[in-house]
Amino acid sequence: MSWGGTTPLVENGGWLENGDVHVTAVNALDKGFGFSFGDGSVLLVNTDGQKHKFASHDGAVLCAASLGDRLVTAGDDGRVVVTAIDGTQTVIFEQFGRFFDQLATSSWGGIAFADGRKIFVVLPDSANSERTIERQYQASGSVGGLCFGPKGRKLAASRNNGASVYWVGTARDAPDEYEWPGAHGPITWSPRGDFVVTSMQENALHVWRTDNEKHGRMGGYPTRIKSMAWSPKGTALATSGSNGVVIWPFATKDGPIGRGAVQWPSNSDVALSQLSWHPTKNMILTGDYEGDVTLVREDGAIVPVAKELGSVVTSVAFSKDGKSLAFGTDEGAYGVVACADL
Amino acid sequence: MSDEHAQTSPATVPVTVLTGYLGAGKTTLLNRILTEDHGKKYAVIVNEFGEIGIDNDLVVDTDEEIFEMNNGCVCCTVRGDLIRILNGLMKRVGDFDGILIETTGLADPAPVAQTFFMDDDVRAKTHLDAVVTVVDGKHIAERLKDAPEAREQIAFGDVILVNKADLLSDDELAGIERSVRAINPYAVLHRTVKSDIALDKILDRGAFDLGRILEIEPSFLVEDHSHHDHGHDHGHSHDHHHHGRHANDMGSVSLRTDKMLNPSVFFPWVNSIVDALGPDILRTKGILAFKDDDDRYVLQGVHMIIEGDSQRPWRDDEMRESRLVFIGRNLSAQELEEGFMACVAS
Repeated sequence: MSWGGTTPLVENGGWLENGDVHVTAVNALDKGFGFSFGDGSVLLVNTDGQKHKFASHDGAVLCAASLGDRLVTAGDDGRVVVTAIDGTQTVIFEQFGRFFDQLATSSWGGIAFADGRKIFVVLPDSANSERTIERQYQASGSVGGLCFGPKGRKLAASRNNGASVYWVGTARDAPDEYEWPGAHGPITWSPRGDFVVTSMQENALHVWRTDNEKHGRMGGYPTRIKSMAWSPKGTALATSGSNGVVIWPFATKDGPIGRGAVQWPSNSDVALSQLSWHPTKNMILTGDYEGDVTLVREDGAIVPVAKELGSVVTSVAFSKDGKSLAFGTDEGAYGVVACADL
Repeated sequence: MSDEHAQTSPATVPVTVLTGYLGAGKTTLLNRILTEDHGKKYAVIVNEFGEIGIDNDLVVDTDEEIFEMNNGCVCCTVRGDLIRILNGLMKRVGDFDGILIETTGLADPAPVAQTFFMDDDVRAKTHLDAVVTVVDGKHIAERLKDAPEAREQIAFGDVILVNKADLLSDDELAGIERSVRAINPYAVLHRTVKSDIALDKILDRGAFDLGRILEIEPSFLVEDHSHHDHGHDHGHSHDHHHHGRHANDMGSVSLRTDKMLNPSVFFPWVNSIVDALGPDILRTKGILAFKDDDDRYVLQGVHMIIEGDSQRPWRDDEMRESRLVFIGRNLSAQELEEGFMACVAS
């Protein structure tokens, strides 16, 4: 079943490049997208289609995040760099030998990054709007994921045996601890601030109510869950790791705790590696382990975006206005496609 | 490399693990690998930049961090820091030809090895080539008595360098080699001075490559042919008997038969063995001949993780027989042997 035709969208209304460099991530910026790559370069793409390529790191970009109209990247060269579309680059942090593989930004302009157990936080100073306030924390285990809370005043860091929430907006040093045995990776905070969810090494999610009253395990996946995306209203969480989109309910006080997931129908027998929820519509952009990028709807209808890109899809994103989408793969295919009519 | 290797040597980045007790000469070996004129580039993962500098562009420092999965069984532990760093390094694939991991002197090699079997992303991009254990010839006799880590590192090694050989007599070296063999009968042993060794003896060994399992015949197995007249067709090492007197000791059990095995009996048996004894079995290797099957079946494992594959047809010039080696602690040769012999097809 298809609601937008069976011809891949990329063939009429977009562009596709086939580089040979790993695509670390694609992030939605205020007016376009920021791609980052395994050779240390970044590519900023305007909504008008103009592309601007810059060298940001001497090595690989390990992770990236959006900072309004700019792109923040962290690399294995020990640097954290902010790149603007005019080519202006600001080095936020630099220390040789650091291997920053975790990075998060808040909607208020905070930046957090981590190498192993060490977490650094740079917050916007509201008095003079410069990034001067820096905090450092030592987690009890290697940080597997970082995510700011919705107000940007707390930072959740997943780690071995749980997650720690740091009160970065205050002088308080001791984090709130959320415990569960095992190794925790990607982490996300519900838009309403009431839940923290981590993806574990062993093909399961773990969820805590942020008041720490209840928590639960969400399992049943055939592969690791690398990607999680909130619905526009923040009442549901879409997850990769299975061949269909698995969606957990978060509308009630206990969220998914004690409840089941729904799976959007899928004809694919390939597991999804990445996904992104449209900012306003009930449609999800997915990428899988064999290089297919597909738009899916709740009723199982699909629109192919790009097919057989040749390697695992490492990142997908909708633009902030929802009118275009972007994707990238492990072995270097990446592109931007219009999707306003769907 | 012959054709038969090609199928099991995927185009993934080889990873060599350098292990050995404190002061044995690991960092010296690492620097030899990096500075020799081989035209290859390596990424290096170390635990703490040591006192001896490492002469390389890409060195990543890490805290050895054990991730326990599934209730903390030793068989399900992986090195979380390696998962993190290997995934990062894979973003710049093509920038280097291999990855070297230097472990600390007290490290258990098992979680390192298991990382390459249990993490799908790591497995998709890299393969464990070999565990190279550096042994301090001068002090190993004492370490074998007081340091369980030293025994585990030897048990795990695919290649073992008996280092500081210039400080020892031939008799002493022979004694050390016997102790090492008692623990690990199939590792390749080399005597070295200041970790000086030809790189092709430690790199690209394919020790975890099913196509190359037991390619180098453990010497004791050859000698063990004389055991065929025991009344049933099997063999196990003399050294094991010697060490079998110490209940907690690390040792090996080698099994052999020239009668064809019944796969529907063998697989449940070997699975039950690694399930039950997994924490105590460090490595398993085998070449098996099944009834009505013209292919050689190869098998290898780390703790509870075992994998196997039909490798290639038996050649006319080789003896169709099954050999299976377990290395581990507290292994009962008699029990394993009885179980193994019960797998013989009727």
